[in-house]
Amino acid sequence: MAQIIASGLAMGSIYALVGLSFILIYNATHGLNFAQGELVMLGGFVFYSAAGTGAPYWAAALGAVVAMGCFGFIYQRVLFYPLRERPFLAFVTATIGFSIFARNLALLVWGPNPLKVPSFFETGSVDVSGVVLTPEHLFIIAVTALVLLLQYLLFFRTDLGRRMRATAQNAEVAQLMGIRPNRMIAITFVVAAGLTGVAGVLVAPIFLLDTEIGLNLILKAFIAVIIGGFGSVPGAVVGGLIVGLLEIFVAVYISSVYKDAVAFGVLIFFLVVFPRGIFGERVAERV
Amino acid sequence: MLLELTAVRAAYADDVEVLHGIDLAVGEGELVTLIGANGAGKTTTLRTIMGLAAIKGGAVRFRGQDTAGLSTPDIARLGISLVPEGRGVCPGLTVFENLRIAATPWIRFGQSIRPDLERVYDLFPVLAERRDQLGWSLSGGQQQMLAIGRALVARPGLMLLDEPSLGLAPNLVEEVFETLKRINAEGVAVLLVEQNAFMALEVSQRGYVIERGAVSLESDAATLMNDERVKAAYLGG
Amino acid sequence: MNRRSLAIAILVVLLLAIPLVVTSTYHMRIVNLALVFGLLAVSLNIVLGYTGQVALGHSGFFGIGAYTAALITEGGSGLLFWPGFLAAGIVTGIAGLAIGIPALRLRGHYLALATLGFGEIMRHVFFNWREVTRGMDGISGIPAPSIGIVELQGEGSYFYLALAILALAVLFCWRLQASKYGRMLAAIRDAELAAGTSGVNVARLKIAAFFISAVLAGFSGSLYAHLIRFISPDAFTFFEVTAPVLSMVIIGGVGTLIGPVLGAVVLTFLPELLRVSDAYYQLIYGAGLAAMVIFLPMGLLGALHGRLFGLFRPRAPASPASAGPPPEESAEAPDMVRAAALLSPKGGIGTGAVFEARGLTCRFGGLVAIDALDLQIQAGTVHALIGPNGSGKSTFINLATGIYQPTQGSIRFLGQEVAGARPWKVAAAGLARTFQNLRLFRSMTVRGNVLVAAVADRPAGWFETLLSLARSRAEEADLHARTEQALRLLGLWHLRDQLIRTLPHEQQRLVEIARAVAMRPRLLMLDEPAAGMNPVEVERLVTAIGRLRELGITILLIEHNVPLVMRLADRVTVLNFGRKIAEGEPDAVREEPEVVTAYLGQRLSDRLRQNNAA
Repeated sequence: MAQIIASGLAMGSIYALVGLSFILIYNATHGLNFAQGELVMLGGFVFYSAAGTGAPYWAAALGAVVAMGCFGFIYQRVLFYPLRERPFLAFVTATIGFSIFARNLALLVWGPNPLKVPSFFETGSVDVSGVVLTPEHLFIIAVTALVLLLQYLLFFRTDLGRRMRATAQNAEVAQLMGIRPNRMIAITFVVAAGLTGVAGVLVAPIFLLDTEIGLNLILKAFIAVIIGGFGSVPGAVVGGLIVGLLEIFVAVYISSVYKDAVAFGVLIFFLVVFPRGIFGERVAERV
Repeated sequence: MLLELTAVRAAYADDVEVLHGIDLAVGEGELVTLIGANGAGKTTTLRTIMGLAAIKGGAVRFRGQDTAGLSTPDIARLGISLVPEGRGVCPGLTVFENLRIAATPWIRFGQSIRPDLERVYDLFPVLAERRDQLGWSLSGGQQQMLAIGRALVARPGLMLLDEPSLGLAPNLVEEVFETLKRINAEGVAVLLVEQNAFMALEVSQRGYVIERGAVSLESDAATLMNDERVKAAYLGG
Repeated sequence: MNRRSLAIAILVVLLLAIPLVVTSTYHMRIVNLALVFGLLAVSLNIVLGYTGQVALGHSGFFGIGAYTAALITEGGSGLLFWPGFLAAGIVTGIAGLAIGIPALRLRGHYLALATLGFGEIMRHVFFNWREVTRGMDGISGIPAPSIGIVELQGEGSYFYLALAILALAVLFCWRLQASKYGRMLAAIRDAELAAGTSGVNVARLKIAAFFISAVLAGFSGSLYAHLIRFISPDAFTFFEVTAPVLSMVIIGGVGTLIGPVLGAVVLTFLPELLRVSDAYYQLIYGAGLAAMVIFLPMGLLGALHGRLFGLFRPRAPASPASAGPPPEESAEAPDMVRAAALLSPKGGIGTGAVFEARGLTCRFGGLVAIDALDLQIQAGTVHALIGPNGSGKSTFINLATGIYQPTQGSIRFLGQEVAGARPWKVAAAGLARTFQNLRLFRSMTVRGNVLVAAVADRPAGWFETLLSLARSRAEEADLHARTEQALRLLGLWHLRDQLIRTLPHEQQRLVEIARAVAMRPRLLMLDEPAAGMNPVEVERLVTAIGRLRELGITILLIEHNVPLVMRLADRVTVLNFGRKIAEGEPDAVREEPEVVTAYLGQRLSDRLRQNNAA
């Protein structure tokens, strides 16, 4: 049981990271970035290549995260900035175009065969007071918790974070305070892409890396943010964990065949019956 | 002159010209009121000064510098603070955070915002009590105080206020105007846009009446108070 | 024969000749695929382009259609094609309703994600419901279609079948776009709120659009199954179907008639033209799609249109906004007899109170926007509602026209309770309105805007409209006649073919009034009609309102221009903080001290005196 929960939480942590990065961009720009999953995929592949150079594990991981962060800047400059005044379908379509591009780029660079990133851990399991757990799962949960803590500190304990939040809530007022919204949005993209880099590094050792993983991740992230309440940052995290747990419980107790169908069923249920999700925003009412 | 508008014409994004030639000036340390009926262009005048509406002609000068081509954040950084209509409090930021982000134009690493906060909390003690409450949970009056307090934290040379009395109970309106007088006495120039004409004129030194996108009357406040044409601008003659 | 029919005839001949020219089976297969996906793109365009809803679940509809047709015809004769084809349309149409009805509550990105979820669920169903779909094994043995005893073996004969069906679909879309329903859909896309208050049953039309789109998607799924003759779940994924079809619509031109087909042809042939490996092609396609969105927002057809107009039209008609004052309308006043015949209120002018609000209260959170308001409007009068900014005037109109739900109280219009009714119900009952912040249908002409709201005496149904039967043609003529009168009444007839966005502000306001008048309302609520107008324009507005009055339309006027109110109104109600503070004859109301205070505020000295007295 503990093993199941740990594994569900580990997967849920990945979904939470993807959902969170998606929501950060949504809150800052009202754009839906359909390519968030492909960013995770690229992060995983970059990590694979970095690890392949013989660099230490931590250096490869850091390199992948930083590389994705830088890429986030280019990404917003090329794909978001020209479309910022257009209806949301434009940005959605452009990001779908990018995901097609990224999947095939990865195919050409890293080849069609799934790649295995060697595990950081040598032992296959750890024994925590009688319960046998996979160290990777614990590692994923711990790193995600740390990243979320850093996020919290950035957004709630620094002026930069407060300005980013202010811009997301009311860009015009932020401008009146002397804040430059375009700069805040660019930084948001960098942070969000960095998060996908973290997710890529974490997901690489437990999955075989292939060009298809992006779609599954972004779909699960969508479910997570709808369950949590669209636009809510804690909602994205909680929603991600719920999806992870739901998946593993359905797989173990019902059938692994239906784990995805159940997840999407939950998505439709929330959309139709409970569209505001768990952390439905009170703020939205006031508009 | 601290702020000078000469023959300013301005339009919104859909190219509807709203201002047809505004001439207006605010001197150092002055408190000036801009009054007029709804739709006359009062809000647009303030938004044009802040670069939020497109200037089609004429010039806006602040401390002699033409603001043409400057973005809104740049203009804010020159030292103009707008308290927008509807207050514009960030709903998901606490009172403290709302005040804190207002220091953006001047704050550098290691500088303290404490004296500015003390000044605001001194003016509005209720904000000190609620410093950790989120913006949306404040009452209308408290939001207005926060909006004014936020403008002060920016250490402005000129403060613009758009309808600060809107939707406030009469005793709160009085309090807001008293505070404006106090802020002005401390040396901050104020340009006030109000529908509540008599009260605004009572605290001002000078006033402008704006009708259909142009200034129709300009005088010292006491004269305007007794000018029948002011009433006519609102209620017809 | 005019040039357009000539061009169409040439196009038809060229299309029919394709199988004679293209001899390779391989290339004919690609041509046929382009037709199948063209049909699917046409289907997506109805939702995406006509109603402006972002739906991303067409892989699901396409798959349902394909599986339905495959299961019915599997191993059987080609004659089963037609029953399978129809069943595919019906089953998919039902699925479309099942998605479309709950999706009514969802807007924008929620709808996009819900439909995307639907597509994914269907993929899992195809994959995992082995008993029916055979899972990964797929279904083979799907026959080639037959017509009568003629079996359409071979790509060439299939081509004619697919072309005919696609042509019918395009014809259908052309009829739809040109009909009143097409105008209503475009109105929903441009300004949903105003469409509702103009009498468009927004919910029903959105569902209808979803249904039609699903049926067409099902048809294209059936065609696909009979073309490939084998289907498996891999063929119905987001990246195999939804993404390319979305690209086709966007590349061709969202909302255009044949843009989606053009997009389908381009995207299906592009890999052949580029002759690179699939991964390289996809790389180019992905980047190209993004570039397309960024650089050609209107799609190929949109860009082409711009070019063609630039080439062939001597000059685009100069917009009055840029060319100084608008062309003067003809000096003669409108023919009031004719206007009265076509535009007098439906159901007569009436007597007594046409409208009565009782104890009307509206709260937003802690804010009381309207507070226990009683208001009666007498038939045939101009009743003004004034008050300072934020006093609740616009909220009142929103309550009366079904946009807001009151917290408490009743609103009776012509003896019927309308509090909380849907906007189009209120509109159909005879209550029209304009908006303070203009809400016009910006993609349409002046005439198109008014046509949306016009009400005929004998409306035609869907069937008659789409087949353009006599009754529908009579209705169109009727609508056009009434629209003409409404435009003449407001002095806008000379601007009828101008696009809304080229008009100056004042005339846009008048178009809103014309749109409301075309509904033949009993009561018309004007929300700040004079806002932003100069004195000359205000005079024109006064004339127009006088004409409305002459027709017998009762008017509620919200206006900040108090002198104007004094001239026009028979009775004035003053609001402050959502409460009625005065009511009566205009001149009497203006002198009431409470009104003066509400508008101009009170002198501090007066307040002090009062406080001392208390």
